[in-house]
Amino acid sequence: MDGEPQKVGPCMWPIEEIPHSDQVYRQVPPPDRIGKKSRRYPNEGHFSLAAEEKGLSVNWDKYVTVKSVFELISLRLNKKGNFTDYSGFKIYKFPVGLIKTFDRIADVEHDPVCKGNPAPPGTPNNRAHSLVLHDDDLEIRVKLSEYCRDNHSESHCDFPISTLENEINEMRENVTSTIYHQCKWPAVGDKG
Amino acid sequence: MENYTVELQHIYEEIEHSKYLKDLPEDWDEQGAAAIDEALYEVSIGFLLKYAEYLLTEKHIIIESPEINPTRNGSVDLSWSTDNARMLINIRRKGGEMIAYYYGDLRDDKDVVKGSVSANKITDSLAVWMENLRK
Repeated sequence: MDGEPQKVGPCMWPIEEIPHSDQVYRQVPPPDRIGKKSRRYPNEGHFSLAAEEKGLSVNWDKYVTVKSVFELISLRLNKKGNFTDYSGFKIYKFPVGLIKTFDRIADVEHDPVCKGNPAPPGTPNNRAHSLVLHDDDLEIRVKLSEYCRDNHSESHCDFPISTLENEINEMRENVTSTIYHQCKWPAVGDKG
Repeated sequence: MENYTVELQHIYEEIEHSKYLKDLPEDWDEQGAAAIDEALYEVSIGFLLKYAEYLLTEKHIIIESPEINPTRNGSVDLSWSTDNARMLINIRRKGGEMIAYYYGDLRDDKDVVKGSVSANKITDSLAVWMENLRK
């Protein structure tokens, strides 16, 4: 039917092996969401799993840039039905090879998200989505958060977020026609 | 419970600050996080006080204050990071019980301790390791 999102199967994109030499991005909510007192950031709680999650959600750099991670955040609806306030989020990157050396991490698994073609407003597709598979293990949470703090210059992805405002506002106004709501999703740069 | 206002002031201050956890709404991180279970929060605070007071009165050790942080699944983290040691204790429900899961090491994976105990009583082996968190 015209205007109806095209139904897609479990996933329209193949699940690929993520090479050790690649990196994954993890988004961390702003520090002021957890009180006013100065504290270590990110902390272990930022790497905990929500109920029913089997791994930590990350985005594979084969299919996203830091800019597109912010765009994906901005196009998602929160539980109040508003677009997520992306402005205070921080993005950290991890070498896949390093993560896989942690004892209790079973794997870093590509897990593309397909919600439709176009995907409904508020729930964009995400070809980059991947999972760091672990059992909400405390040691892993300690090591991931400490890696970010001890290697801030390499792990923190600085980005001039204010430059995105107009582009994001435009995408939000045409929310089902963004690249993230269609089935076109090329690899980043020459990595594909 | 006695009040060790001078010796444990730093811990009482962190507890006072942590009361905001009880008011965090569902989806506080806009990434689907659960609200913090209030009963679980109270047990977590009780757990911290029990160990801090036990180490003070029985071993004459004042431990550093942890950061008391929320997690995405509604449980509570107690997180220490000192020059010599790091420890994470996560209090959560399992079945009808409140359980404290813990991981600690003396940096560089030395003297690693990991396991789980009841959150409602002192377990000697954990208390002994927590002496590494002395102030």
